[in-house]
Amino acid sequence: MKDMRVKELLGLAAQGLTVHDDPSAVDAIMARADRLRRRRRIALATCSAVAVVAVGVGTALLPQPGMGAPNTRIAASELPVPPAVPSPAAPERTPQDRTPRTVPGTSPTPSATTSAESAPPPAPTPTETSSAPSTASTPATKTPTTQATSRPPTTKSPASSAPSPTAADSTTNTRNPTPAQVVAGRLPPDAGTVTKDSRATAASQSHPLGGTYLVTKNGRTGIVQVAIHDPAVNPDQPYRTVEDELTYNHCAPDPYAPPNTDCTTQQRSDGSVVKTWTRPGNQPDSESSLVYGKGYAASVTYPDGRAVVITSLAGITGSDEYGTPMDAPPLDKATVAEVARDTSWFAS
Amino acid sequence: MLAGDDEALREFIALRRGPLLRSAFLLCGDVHEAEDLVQSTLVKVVMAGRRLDRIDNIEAYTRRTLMSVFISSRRRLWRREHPHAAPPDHPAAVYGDIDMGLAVRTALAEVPPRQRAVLVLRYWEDLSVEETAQILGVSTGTVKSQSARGLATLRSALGDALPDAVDRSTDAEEARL
Repeated sequence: MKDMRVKELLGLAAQGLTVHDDPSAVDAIMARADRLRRRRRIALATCSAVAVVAVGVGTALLPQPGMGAPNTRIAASELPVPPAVPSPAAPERTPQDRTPRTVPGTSPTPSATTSAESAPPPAPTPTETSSAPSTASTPATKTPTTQATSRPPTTKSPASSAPSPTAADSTTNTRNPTPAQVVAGRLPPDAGTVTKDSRATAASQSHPLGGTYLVTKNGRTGIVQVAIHDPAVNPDQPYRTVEDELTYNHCAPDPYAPPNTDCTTQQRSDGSVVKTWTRPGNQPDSESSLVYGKGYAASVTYPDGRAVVITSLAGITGSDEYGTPMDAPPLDKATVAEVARDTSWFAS
Repeated sequence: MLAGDDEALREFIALRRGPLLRSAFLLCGDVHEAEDLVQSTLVKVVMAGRRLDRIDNIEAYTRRTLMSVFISSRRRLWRREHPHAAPPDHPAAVYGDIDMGLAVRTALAEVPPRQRAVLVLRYWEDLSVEETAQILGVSTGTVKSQSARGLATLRSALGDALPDAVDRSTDAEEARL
């Protein structure tokens, strides 16, 4: 056995096996393969059926359009402001348009007066505006940088003393301010340049001041959304009562998006309800590729059916139309509540 | 060659089942397990169905499948082999062919599965290093090293079973013990 090859040793080891020429073994193998094939087919068909059912059920269970998005209806008091078909956002304000809120100052509603008496709004009142028209109304556009951002190339400087068509336009705009001018007049002086987002049209149809406004400052663009329900303007629009508002939880868990946080509720002596909450960042829009940044929101609901919701977002990403978002919302939480408490929203 | 032909497959199975059984027996050391391995292997070959059209070498494919099935079976915890500290029940000093076969099977059981697969392919199936590497999906260097280690383990495990027949050559390619 010297120099025994490994093959010989393995051959000796293999001698322990007797191989019978069994034809049934071939049949057994073929039958087993057939069984496995059938099982595979059944499994494949089952998986396909499950996938089809899952797709159907998933499609049916998808959230309603706009659910959870900041520009859509969360509560009945929040009017939808969906982004419309993107188009170049034309600045609506010019330096000449820096005018006080002429319309609110002329005809405050009785209910607004009542509310102001019971809970004086911290935001500038029409009286304050009329006493200092050039400073309180459009503070956001006072800085040279924001003027340059919002000013169309053809607009002349307001410092020009010579009468010109532009000056005439400015006078006209002072008498009939655009929504962006009105909204700018109700924001803090250092908020930034305000232009209305022409792509969001739904809220504008509900109320002249409702809509999405771009607030530009230092090359960054934040968002302020205004939703107003005023029975005097649109009596057919459904609204949420104070009782509804008291029971509605803006911070309720949302299965499709991160929930709001920091919800507060305050019922004032005049019967109105002030609610504030913080919106999470990175919130994708369910109808588009837009992603909404962090923000603050406040709503004020009055017993007579009036309601206003102000939302301040750091910005919108996912589209070049909205520029570079701000690091923080243009209005902080307290300011958003102050702006929402301003009763002059309903005098427009 | 087979190209999904049922009769050709049957013929191939009938022809190759015996040699595959012997290889599987050397791999696992158990008749019943060897039959299971071969059946699983051939079922996979049959299941390959249309893919067989694209397989150039059905023989190599079958060998690769057998090795894959064997190594996979060794990975299962409940079938994992438990090597002994010392080889149990060595045959006595005088060895006939039957005793030697038993001794070799016992010694093979101590060789790790992958090295065992290399030994069977290289020295039982007479495949080259390159063919063995291709079937096992490893490099030729790995085949050589595992072959050398497997032979060393086999030599060590056989121990007294080959008292005067051991060629202590370290050259694994010589394939002599």
